[in-house]
Amino acid sequence: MKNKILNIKNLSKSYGAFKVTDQIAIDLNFNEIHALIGPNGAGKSTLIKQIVGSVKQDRGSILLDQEDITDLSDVERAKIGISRTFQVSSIIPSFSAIENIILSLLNKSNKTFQLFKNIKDNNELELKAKNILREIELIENSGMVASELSHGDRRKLEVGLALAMNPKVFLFDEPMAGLDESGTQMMINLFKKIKLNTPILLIEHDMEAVFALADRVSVINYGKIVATGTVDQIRSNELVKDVYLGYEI
Amino acid sequence: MKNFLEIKSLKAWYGASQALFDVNLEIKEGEIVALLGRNGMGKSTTIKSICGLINKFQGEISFNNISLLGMPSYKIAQLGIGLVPEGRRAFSNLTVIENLLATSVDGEWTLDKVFELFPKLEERKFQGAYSLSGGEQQMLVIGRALMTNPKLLILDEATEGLSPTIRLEIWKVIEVLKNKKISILIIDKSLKQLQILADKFYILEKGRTVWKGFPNELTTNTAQKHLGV
Repeated sequence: MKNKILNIKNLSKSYGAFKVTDQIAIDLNFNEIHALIGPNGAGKSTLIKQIVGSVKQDRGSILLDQEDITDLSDVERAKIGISRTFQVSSIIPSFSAIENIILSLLNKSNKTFQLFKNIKDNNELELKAKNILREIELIENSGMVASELSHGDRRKLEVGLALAMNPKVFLFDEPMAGLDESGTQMMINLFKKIKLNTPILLIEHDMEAVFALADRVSVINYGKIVATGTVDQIRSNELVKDVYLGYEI
Repeated sequence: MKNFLEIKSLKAWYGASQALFDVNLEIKEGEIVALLGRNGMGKSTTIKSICGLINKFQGEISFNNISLLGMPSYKIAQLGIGLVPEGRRAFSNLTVIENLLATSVDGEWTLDKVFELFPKLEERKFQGAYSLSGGEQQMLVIGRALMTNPKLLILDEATEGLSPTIRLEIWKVIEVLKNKKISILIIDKSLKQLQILADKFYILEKGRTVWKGFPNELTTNTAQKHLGV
């Protein structure tokens, strides 16, 4: 138990008769990337929403670093160390890339009001933001307004916002979507580095990326976890091939 | 075969910043053309220019010998250009059926055909689009474009966010459309599938067409140089 940073037990959520998540049990170890894969509509993003607290569970519990956070609000969960990215971007389109990162840094430090000051007056903040932009290979476009960034660059910025929160766990929801080959490779290398300090729960349909990164893989179908194992175990699992992988792999 | 869509010396701007400098591209009737390039090289801006979604431009875009530049996007759609935009853009406040019918045009693609293609959409047909999963929304916008019964279908990262099995289904659909001689302009990260399906490749780099050719002419060096693959 001690090595588990996130421990989810029997998490369930229904909309009427429709069970979106059904007694989900999943955990995340320190220094681990645990990938969650499954067909579209299987309940992956709903599970993420339940973990961050934007969707209230009907039953079940969530422990973060052995502390029960089941009854905390989404804001409280973010403050104590859960950071997520979205399938569809949540960045502020009229802010530049660096302003978006700075806003996230200020948010982490409870100093959002400082956004109204000239950011150039805060060298430390600017330096931190630039370091993050370098990590996600977006430094050349740091001054560009987010709405004018390419789709792939907006995805990188989304990961940058999560990095700025310096959380205890990362929940990444399809971070490779829309990235070109070099962007995907950059993200793979970045995640390998991140996991040394901060574990990652990764939802991703790019199987090459999942197989390159994951220490463990869980498969969700119709709201239930149907398999958990190493990459090799999951690749050779007939049920998983049938419901998800098909014959592409 | 005559040129169906022709782009010559296209330049485009977002406000003061120039995104396209010299894009040239031709699609003949019934052809599948893949537009390749790294992130941020102008692929989506080219598509937005075709669809009338860019305000500042120079050059020429013609479809069936009709100039598109300056034409409002709804008129361009009425000419028979269907778009599956990047990043899912379903009408979130409409139901699945309303999304599919809102812009439909009589033709081969009907509700039944789309539901046959995407059974998940039929299961959710009275649900609001906002309540669909990401992949289901992607299926919906592809279905919505097909329901316009387009002469030219533009797919901007249409397989993004889809599971491997659904992705394979989408590639099969594209093959069906190819056999029906529907012209397609496609942007996708799966070079392997594009090499199987596309008739021609164009590569954009920093807003310029820097390479065009048949898929089998794309050498490892060219792919490495322009695509980083």
